[in-house]
Amino acid sequence: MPAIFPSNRNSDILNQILKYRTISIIGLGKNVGKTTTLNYIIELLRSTRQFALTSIGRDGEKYDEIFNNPKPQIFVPAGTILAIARKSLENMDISPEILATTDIYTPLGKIVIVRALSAGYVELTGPSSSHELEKVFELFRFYDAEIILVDGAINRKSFASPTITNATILATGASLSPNFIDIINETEFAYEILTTPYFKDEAILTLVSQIKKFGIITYEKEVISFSVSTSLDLQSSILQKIPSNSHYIVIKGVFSNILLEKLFLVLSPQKKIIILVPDSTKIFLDREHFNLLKKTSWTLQVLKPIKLICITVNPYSPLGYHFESTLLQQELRRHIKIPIIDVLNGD
Amino acid sequence: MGGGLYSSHKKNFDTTRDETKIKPYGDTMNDGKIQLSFTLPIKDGDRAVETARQYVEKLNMRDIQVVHHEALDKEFTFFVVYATATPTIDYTAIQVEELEIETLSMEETDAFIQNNIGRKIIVVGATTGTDAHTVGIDAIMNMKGYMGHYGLERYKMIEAYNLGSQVSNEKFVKTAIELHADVMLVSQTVTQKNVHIKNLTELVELVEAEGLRKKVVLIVGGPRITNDLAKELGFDAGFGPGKYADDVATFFAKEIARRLGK
Repeated sequence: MPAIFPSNRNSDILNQILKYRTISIIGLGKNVGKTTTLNYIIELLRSTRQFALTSIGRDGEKYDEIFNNPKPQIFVPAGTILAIARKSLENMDISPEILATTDIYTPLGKIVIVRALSAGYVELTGPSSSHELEKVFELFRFYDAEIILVDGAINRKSFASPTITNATILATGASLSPNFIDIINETEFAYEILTTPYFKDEAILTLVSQIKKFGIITYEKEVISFSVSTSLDLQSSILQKIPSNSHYIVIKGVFSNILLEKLFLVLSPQKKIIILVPDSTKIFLDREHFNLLKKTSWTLQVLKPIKLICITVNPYSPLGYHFESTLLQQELRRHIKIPIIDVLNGD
Repeated sequence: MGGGLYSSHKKNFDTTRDETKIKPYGDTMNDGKIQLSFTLPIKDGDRAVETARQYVEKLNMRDIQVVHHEALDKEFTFFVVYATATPTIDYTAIQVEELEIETLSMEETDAFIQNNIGRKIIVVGATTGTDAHTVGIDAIMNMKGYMGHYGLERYKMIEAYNLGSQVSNEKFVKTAIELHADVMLVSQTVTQKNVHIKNLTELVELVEAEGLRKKVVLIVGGPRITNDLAKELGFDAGFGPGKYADDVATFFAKEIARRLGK
């Protein structure tokens, strides 16, 4: 359990968290400290609000499924509401009151909603997909949860979409790479993607809503919605129809590396073009493609922004190596303009 | 004890089977006998045999016999070693999550789909990422099947598409969308340094981002896949060693029927 640090930083983070109803914790990989971050927030929230917890993966189990390393456990105060797979009822030492049973199936059994009648350790195994999370949120609200926390799995981030959760916390750490520079680069890249600028031009947004999966708005405000089932890749017959006076490229699904490459075939990188995606969880560009895009006159913007509250760092890797926490934070702060916290050391 | 494979050495261990103290079985209960085979990157010879023996000793094994050694190359030697393991394990404390469904035969599955879904189920399978192994996906999908279990292509009520190996996640998802797939089957055989983990989560994320997650049953299979891991990755089910096409088909047919409220 993390200690409570009576610092200003913690009260700032708490005040941020209290502004939102649903908060997701996403990580850049395994063992970057998502569960430790969750414990930290549970500790901050303790005796402030009625809160509910779930996880899209599996957290709080004693040993890691992939590396077999011991993992941090999750300690909840009495009164906490949880959504977990039936199987996890066997792996907890709270007294659970079963509030509801759902029809959501996971490989670990049906999801049930329980209330902790006593404090203790729990294994968190909630629904795995976003549409199921929404059902669980409804039940949480029915049982008067004021704040809902969703823990992530490995490097999954789709549930951080602003259509699912209101705010997000990103966890990064030494386990990403034994190379210090790699950790900095990967974290900065993830931060840059997550905080992609927000597009607000109301007049254009009305036109954007006419586009189904993939389309164009020209400089003359002509809207072309192509009849494609996905924007993952475009056939040459569609590509040829993209006019050279395209001003906005509207992608209502995944923005992939292949799509960017295809767009480069038909549109000049010197032209002022704005690429619009629903939110940053739809951006699947790798760092090379993202940097290539930055070198052009094109800009990437999102229709809905993600509210990123803070970034947590875990300077320890389960493989045995670690970095100087202050150095890691210092280096990250060069380009990252939101709070960076070492939740293990409290600074 | 002599150097042979058999020994008349008097053994004084308890030969009753105790589920809380399970040990490997060689030819007597609780004898702890284990056969190990491994390769060391060293030149074959007496020094190699002694190195292998001492290495196994470091694994806390006893009664070590290097019964076979063979040069694979100038600098690599393959060993087979017999040894006695001392730890015991409490079998009663072991819990794994198994999909508790009764596996239907091919004919039963076809009839189940006919009666409960009323149309063919469309299944797209692939080995994704850099993995070049087709053995896993072929075992499940090919007409002839594997170990006497016919593959999905043979089912009358299943339309199976095997995309083969080294398929990118983007291509896999795109094909699934275009074919209106009900089921996506992904096989991962080579799993060095856990590269498969990121590859599998990327697939789940792409399926989510394309708004497809609700529509497809997402299944992962491979020698290191368990249901616990499938849950963590965000799949609907995971099939590991000893599972065949009929197990997989039974699962997705019942899952689709369940989603339809049948």
